Amino acid sequence: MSETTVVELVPDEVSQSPRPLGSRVAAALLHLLIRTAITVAVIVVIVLLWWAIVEVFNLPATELPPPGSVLSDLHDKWSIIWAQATPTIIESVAGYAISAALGVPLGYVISRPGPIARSLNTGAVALQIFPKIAVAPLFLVWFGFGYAPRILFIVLMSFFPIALNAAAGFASMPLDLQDLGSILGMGPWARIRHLQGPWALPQIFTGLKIAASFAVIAALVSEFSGGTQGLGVLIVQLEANLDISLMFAAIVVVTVLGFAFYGVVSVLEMIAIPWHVSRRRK
Amino acid sequence: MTATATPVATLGDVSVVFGRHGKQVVALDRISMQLRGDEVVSLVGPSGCGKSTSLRVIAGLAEPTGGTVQVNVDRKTRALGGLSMMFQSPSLLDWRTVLGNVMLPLEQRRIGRAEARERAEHLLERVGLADFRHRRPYELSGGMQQRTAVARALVTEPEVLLLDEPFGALDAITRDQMCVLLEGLVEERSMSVLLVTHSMSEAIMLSDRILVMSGRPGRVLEELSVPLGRPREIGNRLDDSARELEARMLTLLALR
Repeated sequence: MSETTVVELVPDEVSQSPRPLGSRVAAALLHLLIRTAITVAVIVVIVLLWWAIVEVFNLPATELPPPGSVLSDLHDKWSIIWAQATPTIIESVAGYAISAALGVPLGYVISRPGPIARSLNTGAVALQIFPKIAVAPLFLVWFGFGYAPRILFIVLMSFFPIALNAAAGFASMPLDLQDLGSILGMGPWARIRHLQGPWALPQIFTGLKIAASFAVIAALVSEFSGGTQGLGVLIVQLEANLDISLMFAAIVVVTVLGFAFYGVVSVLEMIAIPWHVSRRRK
Repeated sequence: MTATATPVATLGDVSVVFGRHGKQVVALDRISMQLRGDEVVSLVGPSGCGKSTSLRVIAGLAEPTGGTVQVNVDRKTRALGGLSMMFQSPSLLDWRTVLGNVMLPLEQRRIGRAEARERAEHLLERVGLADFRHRRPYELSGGMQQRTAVARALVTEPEVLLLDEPFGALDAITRDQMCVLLEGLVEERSMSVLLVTHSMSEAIMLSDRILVMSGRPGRVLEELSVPLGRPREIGNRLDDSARELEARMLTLLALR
């Protein structure tokens, strides 16, 4: 008679429990801090270059204002900028949230086989190719001067990368995992929750990050095409008044908003996907 | 372990043809086989002979285009039991810990969390992974991943275990270790096992019966019974009777 052989396996370090959410959030924030430091360093270099160009070519403030004057405008006239930044932020966040809420489920439907998925895919591509900027002024005619036409414009600009990436993520699940779902008797909801959803998350976040970088720009473009409030409106007015220094201050705020948007989505990604391939040790 | 006479799975003249229009591939041509209670049967044959397709038909993953399929497992009235399957890849979920992966089938069967955890931990201990239960699958070696997959397949106490070349992607030494582990696990349980493999020594080590299949379209050439007692040790495959059996299989397969 033989004894049952069990090959003893000893872990290389003391076995840890899965890290709790709190420590995951802390790790994500630390990571963000480091990245922010790098970003600040890059910004400092850009500002120095900017200052050097103004000095060397002796440019007048109406062509390229020196960083110092933009900075002091940013400080002195903050209330003017902030009053116009608020509607831009509201539009971007609302439009982006709707894009995400529509784009991910749409991506799932597109990833399914069959004629409905294919026609939806064609529709989404057509909507993406269609030159929305050209008809943006018409949105004001159709939906008035409130938030509706701008939010709609942002949704149209940013839902496509979300839907397309989500579809690619859902569709790329390996056959073995699909078979596993069948063997375990999973219905469509259980499959989405336990298999396809987590599998697609890295790709879904890729789409969400691309769209995050679009959302603020889309808000600005929709404001350029007409309207009464927002940073886009302010920038157009300041350019007409040749207040280039304050205009640059507004552009700086737009840039910071875009970075912040992208940063928030990146932090959410790190919290949601601790198993991401890019974050594995070794 | 003695095989009972009642078949748990029967294929009667099953054919599977892939591709509806244009080029058709006949994966299985009127194949018949029986898996009885408590026995281990291996399907051995060249690539593309339809071994895996036969397994998938029994698992309900492939639709037969002709013939009859009967699987007599109780899937409705009991929370445990039924059918389990292991694939060539471990197919573990990176977003769950090792323990979470093994608990997944029990969660699907609505087994209480405490009980599911206890059963999963017990099996992980049995396969030698107790200390790794809170790790993620990608932190483990290939052999350890496949051990996790073994634990996940057995945690529901299946009546039928289907193995689709489960150790095909492992190195030879790890494969032998897995073979010994699986032999022990099968011996401890009352279940029927159908194993698809390219490895003759694996088939001899694990099976009561071996079905040798021909190339495409697959047919059963010969049924061989394995003259080894149980429990078995890895050295048993060098016994005279095992060597004769392997020689017979080599002849059958080399002639095609």
